[in-house]
Amino acid sequence: MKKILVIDDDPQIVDLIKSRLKANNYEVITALDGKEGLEKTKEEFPHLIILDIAMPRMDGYTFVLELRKDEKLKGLPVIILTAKDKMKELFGMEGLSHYLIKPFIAYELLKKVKELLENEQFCS
Amino acid sequence: MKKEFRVLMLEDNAGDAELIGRELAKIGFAFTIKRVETKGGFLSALKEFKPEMVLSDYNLPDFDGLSALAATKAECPDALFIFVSGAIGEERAIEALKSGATDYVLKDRLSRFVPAVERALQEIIQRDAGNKMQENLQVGEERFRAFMDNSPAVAFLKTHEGRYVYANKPFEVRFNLTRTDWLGKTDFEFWPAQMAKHLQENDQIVLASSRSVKSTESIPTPDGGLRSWLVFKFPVIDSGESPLIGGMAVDMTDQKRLETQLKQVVGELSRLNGELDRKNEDLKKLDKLKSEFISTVSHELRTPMAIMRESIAQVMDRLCGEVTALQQQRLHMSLSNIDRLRHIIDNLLDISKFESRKVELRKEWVDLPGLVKEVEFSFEEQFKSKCLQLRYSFSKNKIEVNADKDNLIQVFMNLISNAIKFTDRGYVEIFIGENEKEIECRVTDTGCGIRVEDLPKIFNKFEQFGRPDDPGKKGTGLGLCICKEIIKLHHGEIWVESRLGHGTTFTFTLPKLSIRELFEENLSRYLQNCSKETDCLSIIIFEIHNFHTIHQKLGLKMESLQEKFVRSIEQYLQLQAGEIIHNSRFILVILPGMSKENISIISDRIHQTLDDLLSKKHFGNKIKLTIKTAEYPQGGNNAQELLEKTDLI
Repeated sequence: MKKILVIDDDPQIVDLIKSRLKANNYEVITALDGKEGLEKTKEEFPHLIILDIAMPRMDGYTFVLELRKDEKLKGLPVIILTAKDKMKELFGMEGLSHYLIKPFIAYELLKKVKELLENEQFCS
Repeated sequence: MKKEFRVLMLEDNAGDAELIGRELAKIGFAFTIKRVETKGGFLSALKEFKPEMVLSDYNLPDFDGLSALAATKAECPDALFIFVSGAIGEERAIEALKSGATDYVLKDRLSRFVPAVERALQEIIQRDAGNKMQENLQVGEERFRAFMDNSPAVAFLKTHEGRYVYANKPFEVRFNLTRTDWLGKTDFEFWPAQMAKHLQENDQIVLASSRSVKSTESIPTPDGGLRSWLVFKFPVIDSGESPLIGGMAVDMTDQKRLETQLKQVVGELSRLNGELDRKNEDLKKLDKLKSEFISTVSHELRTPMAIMRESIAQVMDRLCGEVTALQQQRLHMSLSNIDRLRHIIDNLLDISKFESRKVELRKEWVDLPGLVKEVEFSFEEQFKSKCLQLRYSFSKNKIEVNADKDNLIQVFMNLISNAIKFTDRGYVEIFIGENEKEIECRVTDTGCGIRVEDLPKIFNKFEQFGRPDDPGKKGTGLGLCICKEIIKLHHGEIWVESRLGHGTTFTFTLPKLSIRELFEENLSRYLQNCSKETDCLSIIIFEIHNFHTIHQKLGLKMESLQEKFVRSIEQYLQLQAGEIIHNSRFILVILPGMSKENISIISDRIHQTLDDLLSKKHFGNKIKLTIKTAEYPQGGNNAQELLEKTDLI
């Protein structure tokens, strides 16, 4: 079973995404800010991360930068899920993250997740 | 021409006359001589001949010399009169000279005749010249007076003691003085003491320095006011012993008043300008606040909307248990309204971005027929469910324009979704065509059409016509407004034609930029943010040599080769900043921050990379590249100058 880490400072969003993913047979772990998210990533090695941008303690942008510094983690697929559309260009240039704007549509999120995990499997 | 003197000879003795004539001939003047013998002849000759010199015998049978002299003085007062006679005696001679004769010469001593006549003639000449000069002088002085009296300036002349010896008419008129008021008087005699003192002090400065002095004086007017005069005083040195003081003055009161008024107006203007600047600043702040407000509110709404949407979606997807048909229908209603809300927020954000001019176009080469086919995919379902036909009409398979692709997708999406929304039967047709100057796109439908009175409002914000019943399909009233803003940003035009009950056509145009204009536009955008002192920027332009021949041979392959060029340049530079703009013949690479020192190394390396690519593709000896660079600020101050420097386009 693929493991997905959901990082968002809104527990309701975390909850909803968790139940949606679980219903689609993914294992889900959660974090409420970037710092916690980074710790969980290092402990549990998820296959994919769904990430909010505006969060306390550590925001999503810093989280991605930290992730890219770590040789073992830098290839991890990240889906940015945010209310801020102006960050699109910034992450687009990284070339590694995928981007969805809230309010998201569940099947689009699932499609993206599926796509990325299949790719990842292919790579490894 | 030598002057001929008219000489009247009164002489009754022909022998004497001949003798005198001979003597006259010795004198270096030309003469017209008339001889008369009688009183009658003499008197009529005076009248008609108008002699300048009379040579008269003293004793004549019917006439005596003195009477002849008197007659001459009466008739020709300027004529010279010389007696040429036998002995007349001392007393008579004196009497003759007293009566006005010029001279007398005795016939037996004619040797005196020549000098006497010569002396007399000199006298005539001098007198004539004198007359002429007198005349000239008179004319000159009259002219001078007329000049001074008609001049708008006041003029005067004073002795070194300050006594007025001359003043022109304006002086008298403007200061309300008569000739007797000023002639030979000083300033103390007609101006208030303090003013007179001040004026004389100025006189002293002129005399002491022998230079002209300029001053501004307030001088009282007869009606008790004050007028402001600009006064020039200067030394006048003539043949007299002491220099005189000349003066000219111009009334500056009106100019002064205008100047003061002008100063006031300028002051007021700069105050208003400042106020305007402040208000402008306030407005800008307000505008920024508005944009920020819309942006913040929109973003803040997104998370709760996401929660609502996903909650409802999960219930509908039965993640939370069974749902009845009626519940399902109601949930669907909520969901489509949340989607509508999202749509409104997206549009609002777009509009606020366009209005705050924050939009930066990310231009690239976009193939419009290709783009329309991409868009079609999103409408497939809707065309099917409404049984509408989608027709295409493209003048060419590939029509490219340099534009922001996302923006153009938005325009087509908005126009096509509108067309579907208002059309129940028939078709929606998309036309794309081009001429030399522009590309024209049309979206035509066979729908309900728009009322004539609504047409002018169609591109306004929040205008909606003929709302459909399904809330999910309701528009935001912002779609066409966004289209207009996007087309405007691309320097194109958009308009609508419609017939109620027959259908509607939206048309927009996009100007085609020449490669030069395209390069200039993009380069200018970068240079806008450069300052001459602190920043540098370099450009490289590649041109494919013998482009037209090669293009004919290779056709479409050429374009894919060009794409490969661009990609390998991108790869080489790992472009963090800057941009590559190209068509199939030229490639422009903009490198902000790249200095003159580094650009030649970089461009050589790129050249090498491209040559390698060419030989790898076996084009090595067929295709040659020309490469040129230019640097800001050394090579030019603006896009135009930099491009000219490269000399390629």
